[in-house]
Amino acid sequence: MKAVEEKKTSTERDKKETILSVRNLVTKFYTEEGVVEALEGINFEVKKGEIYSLVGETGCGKSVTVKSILGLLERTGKVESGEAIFYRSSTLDRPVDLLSIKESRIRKIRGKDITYIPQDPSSSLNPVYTIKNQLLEIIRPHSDISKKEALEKAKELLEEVDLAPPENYLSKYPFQLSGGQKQRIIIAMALATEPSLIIADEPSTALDVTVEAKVLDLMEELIASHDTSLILITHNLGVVAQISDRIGIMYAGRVIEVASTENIFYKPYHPYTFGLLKSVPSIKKREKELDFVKGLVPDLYDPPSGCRFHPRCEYQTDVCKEKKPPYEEVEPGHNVACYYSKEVKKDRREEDL
Amino acid sequence: MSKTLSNHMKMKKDQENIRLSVKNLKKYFKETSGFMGRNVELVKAVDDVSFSLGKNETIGVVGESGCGKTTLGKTVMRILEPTSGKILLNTRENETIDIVEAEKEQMKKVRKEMQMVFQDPKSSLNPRMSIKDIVGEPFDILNLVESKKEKEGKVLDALERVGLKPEHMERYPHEFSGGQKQRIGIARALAVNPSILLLDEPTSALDVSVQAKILNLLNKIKRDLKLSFIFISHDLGVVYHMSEKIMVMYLGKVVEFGDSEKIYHNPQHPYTKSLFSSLPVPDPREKRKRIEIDGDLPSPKNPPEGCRFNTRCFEELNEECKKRIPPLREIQDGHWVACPQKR
Amino acid sequence: MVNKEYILKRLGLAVLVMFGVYTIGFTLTFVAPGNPAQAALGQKANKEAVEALEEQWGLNEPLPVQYKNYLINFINLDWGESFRYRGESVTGILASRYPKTMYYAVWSLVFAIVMSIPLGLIAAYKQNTWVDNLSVLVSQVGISIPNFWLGMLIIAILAVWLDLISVVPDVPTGSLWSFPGFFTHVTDYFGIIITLGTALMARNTRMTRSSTLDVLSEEYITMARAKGLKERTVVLKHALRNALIPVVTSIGFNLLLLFGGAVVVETVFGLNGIGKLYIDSIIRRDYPIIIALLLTYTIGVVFVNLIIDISYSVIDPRVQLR
Repeated sequence: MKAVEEKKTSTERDKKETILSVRNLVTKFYTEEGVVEALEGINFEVKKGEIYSLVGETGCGKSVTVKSILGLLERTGKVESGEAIFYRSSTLDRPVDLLSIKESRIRKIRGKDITYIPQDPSSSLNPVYTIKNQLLEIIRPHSDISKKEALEKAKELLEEVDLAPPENYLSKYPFQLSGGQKQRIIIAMALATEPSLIIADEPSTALDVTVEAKVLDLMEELIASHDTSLILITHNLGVVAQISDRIGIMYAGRVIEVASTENIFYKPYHPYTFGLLKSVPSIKKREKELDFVKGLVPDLYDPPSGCRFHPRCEYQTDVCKEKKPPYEEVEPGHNVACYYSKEVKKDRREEDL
Repeated sequence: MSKTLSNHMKMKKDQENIRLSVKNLKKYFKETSGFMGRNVELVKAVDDVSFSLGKNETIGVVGESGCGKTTLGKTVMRILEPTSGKILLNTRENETIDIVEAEKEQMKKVRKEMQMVFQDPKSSLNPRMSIKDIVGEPFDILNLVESKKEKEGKVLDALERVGLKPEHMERYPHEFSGGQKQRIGIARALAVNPSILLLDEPTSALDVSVQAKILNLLNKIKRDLKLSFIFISHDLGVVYHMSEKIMVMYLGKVVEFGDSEKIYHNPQHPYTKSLFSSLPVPDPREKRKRIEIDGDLPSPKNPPEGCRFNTRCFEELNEECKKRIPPLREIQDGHWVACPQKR
Repeated sequence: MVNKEYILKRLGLAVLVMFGVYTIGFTLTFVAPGNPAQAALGQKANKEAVEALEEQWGLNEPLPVQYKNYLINFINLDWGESFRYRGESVTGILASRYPKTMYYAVWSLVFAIVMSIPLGLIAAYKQNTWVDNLSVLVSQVGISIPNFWLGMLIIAILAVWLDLISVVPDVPTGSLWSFPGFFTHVTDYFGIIITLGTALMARNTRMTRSSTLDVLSEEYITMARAKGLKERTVVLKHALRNALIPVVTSIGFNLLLLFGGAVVVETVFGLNGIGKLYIDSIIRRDYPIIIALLLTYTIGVVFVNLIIDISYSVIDPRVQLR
């Protein structure tokens, strides 16, 4: 199962260098109420220069996935097994497994080679320090430059995220800025160390649409100009359709379908992906009724056996209850974890999407 | 002659079909600062808003944070005291009440006619009350039932209406998922058999697949019970799906109003244009051509003079834009725009 | 951050508060039964002598006149003579007592802060470990234990049993506030410093712990870690300052409680500080001292509150004093 993703046929994308490859990542939370089986084996890889989106609903484990990779899980969370091989460490000349290296090592990668853009800009900046202080704090420790040079760099970055003139922003405190401005500052921080990978967790969800659109455009542009990769975590299908190259759809702790953006939206093979797409109200045509995925998200204290989607699935048979479906390559570069992907293909009609 | 006559007929018919008519509604907040509150600033959260809501009709109110849409909703419900204006409600008993002027007894009738569903089902349900008590509460407040038994029957009806089961009556909010909690919120609003539901971001806290179910449910009860909705949301896709008419707000003002098809497919106001062009469409083949607007939202304490959008407008401004607050004008049948450039 | 208008406003408010405190204090003191002249001369003194003394002290005047006289004299810094220590000026008595109480109050505060902030911070950082359990235990015990009882316990152990400190240290007040006396005399007052400071330390430990726990779950802490900062920096730079915001307020209020505690604890330790003076003055109906103590204490309260507000605005840039 794990080999399938690796052994993809020769598409254009595959010639590109892999930056991060996550294999069989299992994370659990040990809470007072019991053990939460948050991730049951996450597999995906990110190529150089691409925007890879992890999409799913609340509780599917998309945030847990990146927090596991970055070593930012809260106390109760524990990575049980798996690996996350990062190929572009600037301090070490070889691929490193982010899940097994020492804390002191990962700290040199975190904030330097891999940076993070959190969801809520207003709570992600420390309220009691100035923007200058918080920008310099990431620029200086990761490079050997003087304070003056660092300040110059900070100004450049602010200009790059369209906060000009930078002097107006450096001495400000977060509470003096709008949500959009704060998110720009966080983007500036994420770019400060010229990382090879940026991980953004719902970067625009807290923003208004017009501000969101600007922030997304800016991110897309900067990802291209800095030649870095982006893992975008979101539940907003509109956002992913507009900016991602590839998409991984997550359900209850597993990536259940991976494909190009075009394929996910026009040729979904997993019943959940199909149902999810149909449930979004469209502004192109007005339907009387929206389709939806029946049933409820499973309780991860006691997840369903086999394929975790089976209780809600109209295709389910006994095999779904017994065994977790392996990944199957249904089209070049398009992998699905479902025993009945062919039936889904037969049943789906484009006008439903 | 025939034209004026038909217009007259049409107006009369419209009149009969109107459930709620809001005229020149204003809600100003006073903000004081300085020594002993010497500096008083007026925040014009809702400034001269007029519209009418038909029977069995949904008006979607859209706009970004700070545009006044939530304040508008609360003022129409008179949860916030209006500064001035008229809110005429035609009840199911064909009585007309001005909500702004209504006395205590009349307000009870208003509360029975208009109910509200809140954004966050988690915090709008009292965790220490059973579902039976939550849904039955409006009856106690409004003295609507004679006996416990009658109340229980009505609570059961309401729960059934939203797809919950009788055994849920004795349970508490924490035992339900987000979507179910929102169903409870809807049941509470429906229990007293209102004619208008004010829905303030009712699905914003929910996942898309749960949202779809709630939206279907809302449309079904609207049809079955002949309700009118005021649907407030920042999600343009959801609003389009739900509404016959759309109202676009910017800094306390209505900038565009009309049939949703017209507004979505032929937006006229520059702000509406840029708002709709910003919406990320869930379709990779349809790349958006975004009309960008400059700068940030001005402070509502100190809005620009003239048209409030003039600081960010991409059209060439004329004198009128800078001097006069543009009134809403009907540019074609059922499509109103507040922009001096559009006639 | 701090503007002049704000300070003036606060001072104006302070005058109103003082006036209120004076009025209530005056009423309670003068309406309460008992006669200072009788108290000063003893129960067996003859009636003429008592009346003569009353006249000398102005006690025969109607109450409103006395009310006015005390106020005017206080404002003119003419605080008169003590009824009890006849011939001694109130100013002189306060000047000999205040430095002493202030001395151990300040050290109690230092003790409380130095112990509580690190303990609370570490406890929160290592939640549910032995350090955390210890901090919970310490703060629980510290809050529940009555200070007079703790005082007696400390005397019994440190002075009587181990003979480490003297029960009633005899230190000239002047040397307490000199260098190096300020530091060397800590050992003399060790018992009372610990006794007074324990409750404050306990409260602050609990407060620091809970506010640090809140702050550690904030998104900007995750962000700081994601930036690759060292844990030390994450905790000391990003968490501590935010966690201190509520603690500062509580320290200010608790400092005032220290003086309340001194009333009891000084009696236990037999020290002649402000607390004991206050008790004695009430028993002996020493009106000038009572009024002067009330008003000086109120000035202290107002001043401390002002300092808290200002330091608040320094720690937290969002707070603007208006």
